Amino acid sequence: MKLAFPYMGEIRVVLAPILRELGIEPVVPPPPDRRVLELGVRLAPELMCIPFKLTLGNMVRSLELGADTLAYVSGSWSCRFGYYGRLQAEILRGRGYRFRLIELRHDSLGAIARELIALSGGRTERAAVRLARALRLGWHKSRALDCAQECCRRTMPRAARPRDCRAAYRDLVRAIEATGSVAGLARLERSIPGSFARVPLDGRGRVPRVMLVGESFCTIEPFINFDIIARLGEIGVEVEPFLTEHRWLGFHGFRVGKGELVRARRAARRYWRDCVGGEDENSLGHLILAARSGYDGVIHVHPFGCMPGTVVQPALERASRDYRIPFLSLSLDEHTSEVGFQTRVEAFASLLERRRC
Amino acid sequence: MQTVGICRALDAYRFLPAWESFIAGLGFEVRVSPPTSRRMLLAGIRIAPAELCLPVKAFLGHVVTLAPSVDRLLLPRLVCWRRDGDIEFACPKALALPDLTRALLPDLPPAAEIVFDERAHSEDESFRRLARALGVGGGRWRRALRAARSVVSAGVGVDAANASGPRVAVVGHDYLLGDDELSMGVVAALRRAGASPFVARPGVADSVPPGCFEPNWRFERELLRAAFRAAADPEVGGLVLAASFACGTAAVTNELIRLSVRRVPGREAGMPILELLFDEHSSPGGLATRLESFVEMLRRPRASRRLDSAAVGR
Repeated sequence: MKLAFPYMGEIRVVLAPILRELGIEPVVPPPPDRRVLELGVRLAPELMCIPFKLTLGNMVRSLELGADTLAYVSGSWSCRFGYYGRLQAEILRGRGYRFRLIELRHDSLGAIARELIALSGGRTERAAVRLARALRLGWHKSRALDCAQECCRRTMPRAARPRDCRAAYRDLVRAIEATGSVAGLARLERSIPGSFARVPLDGRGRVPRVMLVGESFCTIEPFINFDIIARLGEIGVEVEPFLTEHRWLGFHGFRVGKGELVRARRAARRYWRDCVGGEDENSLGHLILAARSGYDGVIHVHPFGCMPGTVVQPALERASRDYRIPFLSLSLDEHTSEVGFQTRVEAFASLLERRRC
Repeated sequence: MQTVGICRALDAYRFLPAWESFIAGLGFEVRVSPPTSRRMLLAGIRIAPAELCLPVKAFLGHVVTLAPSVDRLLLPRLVCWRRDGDIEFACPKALALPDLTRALLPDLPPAAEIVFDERAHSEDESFRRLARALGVGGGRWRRALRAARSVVSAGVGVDAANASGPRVAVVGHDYLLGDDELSMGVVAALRRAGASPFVARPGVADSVPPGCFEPNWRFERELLRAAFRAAADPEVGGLVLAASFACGTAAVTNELIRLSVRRVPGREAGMPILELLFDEHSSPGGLATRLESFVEMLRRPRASRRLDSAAVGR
């Protein structure tokens, strides 16, 4: 089985080794670029959200690299995300591609478990051991990745040369990919803070801190969000994303005390009764948390046309007024201009600097 | 007597007779906003985020128009229903409509929500809670609900038959096709362009070809089934898919219709499909042109048509 999954941020660093441990060959396309986006845009309905379009383009590349199986998280929710797999499969099959579709959903887990057992020669215990080993390896890869990302974004705003941080991060990602043992990954993870401590700083004191909220894919995938975390880091603003690959994969490492987050979500209920998908409820909770924790501003990113992202925007704006925290909302799609994006983000950063003085 | 306002927008097009009857049965005077006018629509557009779909902007315009003249305002929250062992959701905008409205218009008269969430409680319970929210205790709600249930909604059953023209099925939400301001009277415009249009009514689940999945959205499933039911009718010459710009669910269902229509028996060669997107920039002149071209194409003998060049988008 040659299996491809949607490309998002660095999840391949975690998922590819897990698949290999399970006896499945992962097919990972190259990082996204303009051409693969245009490919997805051409095949997708115009009013589908940008994550759909980009992942569709990447799936085409994966199929051309020999993938015979496509896997997606699937479900039936109010937002469209749960239908990505089924709709992309219809579009791709309509174009003549042949493959198997695997949907990860509540009611398919049994069938997936049976497949994994079959891959271990029908031996259930062996399959269970393999799965446990695979998940343990994935967990350590994910933690190391998360640690590298956190150190990078904390250091970059204070670095004398921000590109030193980028270089250190890229080296670490390569090292994480190359390390195959849990012990090796644990050692690597312990060394990460030291790698960033060696980066020369410019002597700044406190830097403005911004919480990044919004839809998952736009928060995590730098190609779509114009690498906003590093972009702001380079001009001296520290960005804390409410969601990272590590958390999205389900390996929840809470940066803040769980109690604080629960209280923030409760405060969000005043503005938002129910989750509609697309991280709307979480975005509100994190905005309130940011305001209470002394952040200087909140940036909200969402795909153009994202139903939850659009409908929660007024609630975010109202909460930002009530809690007196500067707020910027950015809508992303294939037409978003990098220059326009840069201008708005820089203007927001200037506003934050001025407010602090 | 206290007044309760109901906005003539979104799902009121489906449920207004029942809601109106129920609330009147509780002892209130019900005021329904007038049909959408240009001024009302502009009032909604002014306050709404640009990316919201047109019908939601219209709803907000109705709220702005109605709110000053009522004591209470009905805000519907449609979450999900249970049908045939499955959960069917409303779209995210319907789910969060009261929150959206309150965020944009903080100085509203006291709102009363009617919440349909069959994961949490039955439809009967939705009405009981509305009665409580309006301050009506006891068992009065039961009588009011019984009366409300006997009121049959006519729905948007438009059939502008034209004996000489090609039969065209129009697929779109009630709150779009039933609102002349939002849809620019598209069904009548089709008739003027020489077609014999009708609003497609839902079929059964069997209408959907095998292999085409049905998203778990209640009203979109109805549209999907309506489209395939019309496609299966040999009398129907073409489909018009009417949707709002930035309607997220339409992006999925319209694509499913396009992808699967060839699996409908008799439509192996495809079927003429015109997709229209409505927003506040739509122009009646532009619409008329596209409809005329489509109808003209339908009139031409089959062999001379290139079916894969059906118009897309707006």
